[in-house]
Amino acid sequence: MSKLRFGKGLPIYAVISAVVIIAGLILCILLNFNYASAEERTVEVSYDAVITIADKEKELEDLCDAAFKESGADYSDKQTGLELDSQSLGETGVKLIVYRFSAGESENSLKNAAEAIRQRAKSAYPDADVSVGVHLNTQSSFSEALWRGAVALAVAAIVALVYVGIRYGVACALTGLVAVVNDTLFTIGLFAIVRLPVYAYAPLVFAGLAAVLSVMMWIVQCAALKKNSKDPSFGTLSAGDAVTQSCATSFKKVLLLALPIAVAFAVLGIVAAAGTRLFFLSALIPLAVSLYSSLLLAPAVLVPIKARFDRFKATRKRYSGKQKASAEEKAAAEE
Amino acid sequence: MGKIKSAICLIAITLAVAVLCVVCFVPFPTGGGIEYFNPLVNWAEKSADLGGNYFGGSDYNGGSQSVMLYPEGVVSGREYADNMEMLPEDEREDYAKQYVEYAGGALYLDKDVVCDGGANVSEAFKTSFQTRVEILKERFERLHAQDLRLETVDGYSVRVTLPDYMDEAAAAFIYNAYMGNLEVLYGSSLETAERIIPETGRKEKPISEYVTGAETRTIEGTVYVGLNFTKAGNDIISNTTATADTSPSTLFFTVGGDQVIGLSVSSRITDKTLYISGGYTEGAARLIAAVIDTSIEFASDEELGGMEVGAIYQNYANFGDNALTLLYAAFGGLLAASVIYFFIRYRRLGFAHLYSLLIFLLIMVICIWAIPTVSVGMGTIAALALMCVLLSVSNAAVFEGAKKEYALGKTIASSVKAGYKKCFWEIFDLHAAAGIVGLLIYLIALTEFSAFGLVLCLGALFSCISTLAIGRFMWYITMPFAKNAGKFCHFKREEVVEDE
Repeated sequence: MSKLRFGKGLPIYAVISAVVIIAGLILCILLNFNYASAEERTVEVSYDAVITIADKEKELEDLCDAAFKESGADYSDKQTGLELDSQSLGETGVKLIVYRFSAGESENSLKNAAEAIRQRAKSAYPDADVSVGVHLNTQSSFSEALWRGAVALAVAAIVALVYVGIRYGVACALTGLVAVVNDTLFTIGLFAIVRLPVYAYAPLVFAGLAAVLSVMMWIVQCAALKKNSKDPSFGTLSAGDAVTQSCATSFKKVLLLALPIAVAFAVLGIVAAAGTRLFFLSALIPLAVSLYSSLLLAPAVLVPIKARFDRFKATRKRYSGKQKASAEEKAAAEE
Repeated sequence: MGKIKSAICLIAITLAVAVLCVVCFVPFPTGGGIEYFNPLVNWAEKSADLGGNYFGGSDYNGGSQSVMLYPEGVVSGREYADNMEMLPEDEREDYAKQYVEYAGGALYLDKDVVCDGGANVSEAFKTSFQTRVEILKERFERLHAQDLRLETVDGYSVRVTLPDYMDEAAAAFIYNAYMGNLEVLYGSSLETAERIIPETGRKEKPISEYVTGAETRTIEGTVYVGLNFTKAGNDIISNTTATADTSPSTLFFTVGGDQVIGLSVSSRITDKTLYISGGYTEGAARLIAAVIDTSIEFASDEELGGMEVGAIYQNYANFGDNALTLLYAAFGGLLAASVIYFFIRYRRLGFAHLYSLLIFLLIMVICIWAIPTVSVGMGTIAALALMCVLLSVSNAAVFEGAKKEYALGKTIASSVKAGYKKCFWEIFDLHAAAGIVGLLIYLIALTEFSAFGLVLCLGALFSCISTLAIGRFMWYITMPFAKNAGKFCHFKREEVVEDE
């Protein structure tokens, strides 16, 4: 852990963060996140699953798959639904399969596939009522959940760092605040830049994860700093040396906290269905960002803040010392 | 603690944990194999993303419900085809002439209603459809449902998706489709009732001159929908119901002609805020309040026309049928790996970790199962995983601390004490910070993010208790069985090399 990394590295980290955050926010405003299905095309196949198709459902699905393959259409997702009676909410026996395609998928190839499914189903199951439709869906976004989530994150981060301030001092709280703000915005920015597909509330959950992990890892750093400061020789060190020394002792601890979390998210991501895989593997991003900020950015931010606080403390000490000395002189003169 | 007392404690705790483990995690057949007991961890019905079948059951649980809503004058391609088929042959041509094909036959538009008699959609219809979509967005958003989706399909129809676990999903589809202005009628039946608000006259005032909005309130377990009247509105209601004690009647609140609330009146109403209880659940009351509120907010002189409710579908889980099972498998593997690591590194002290982890998991499963506001989404699972890891890391930190103290030559009791003392504040701070963040997210945020916050907060609380109290207690009651404490915990003394 060199001094350079914690003290003089600050401009580099600041530039990295600024670039990612600004680029991410601009992209987010212009293009929003890569929501998995903001606009999509669907081919919907409905049929009577009880009477006419009965046990040939798999056959029908294979027929659909073959038709899509032939027309060169590649669906991203398939969802099955059961029609319910709107009064009793009981199942009517009609099943619906929704094949989801990206909005860029050619409308003609989907229409060709739909026509092929229609024709083949008609010849394979003449009595069946198989209906096929091609649709274009545009999803609406809801703002209340997003702005309330953002407010919740801001309030939670401030209150948590007030706690850090009480336990570890104002310098640590201020640095922690910088780290948490950086981590949440950095995470959101990265998701906007790399265009990872996310579902509606995922960016908020990732930002929340980044905030929690950032606070937790920073507390580990702060605890090491506090522990070291109990050593009288630590008081004689400059802010840069003190931060470097305590970061060196807490480096392993931070990694030991981050590593099991990374393993857990990776395992949950690898042994999972497609949707969950995308979420948990993406959750490694907020973890990596928090790790970067607690090991590199936050210590670099802490150095100047601590130096200023140390100077302030020293000035106050000198001032109170002078006052004490003058009071003693005054008392001696009176005697 | 003596050996006997420790043994009694250990057996009692083991039995309690075993019973709770069965209740929480193990499915088993009952009633001669006809029925199955489903454990609490079967969270399929609490999630729109992770659904599935219960053990021994054929009904699908979880997933979502969706509905197609069509504005007046728009029918789906399927309905058009069905109608054509049902009509006598000589009427088919006229029927076909009445409609224009749209979006490649996905929709059929009524020429008179939608196209002003022409072949293209009129600007007035486009504007009114957009307003209807805005109203739907506002109403559904106020339900604060997880996995809510609202899509415009083929330009002029709307598909709304709500989680299946939401009891009011079907009612929301029907009530939120009511479009138009709010009116208050008074009479014995809706058909014969006389409109009292807005007052009929030469110049009709807007509804906001009479009713300012609706709210929900729960008093002693009963949920009410409250309607806030202005002075003008209150005067009308008060005057109209003046004779209600002698001739009881009904106040009807309608939106676009459809009844939203029917209130039997048997005495004069003088309150400025009228609280109505109709055996509502909290969700149903919020739904009614949202419908009334938005119909005041979007009130206009133009008739909007309703949205026709199409077929309702129960959709299987977004992430596939096996998503939940695979998550359980991954979780099980991770927990087993954590326990095995502790048994290898700390030998029989691994039991202390095993018990604290199991008790933490049991409490969390019961909490997630029992708290209705906790839906199971990716956020919930991520928060639970994070807290499980924090618990394991905290236990490892304490065990390592004690190991170091033991190596220096202390007795096992003082090593444990010193280990906990050294790590206490660090562990407490980590959990406190996570708990604070979780609590505030839960209180302020909505839907899945709120559930994430609640699980984080509860997880932090119980993980802290499990590490600092349960883990230590388990250590305390298992130690009397150790003949050699160091060997029991796989702790070693530091070898001192003496100078010759």
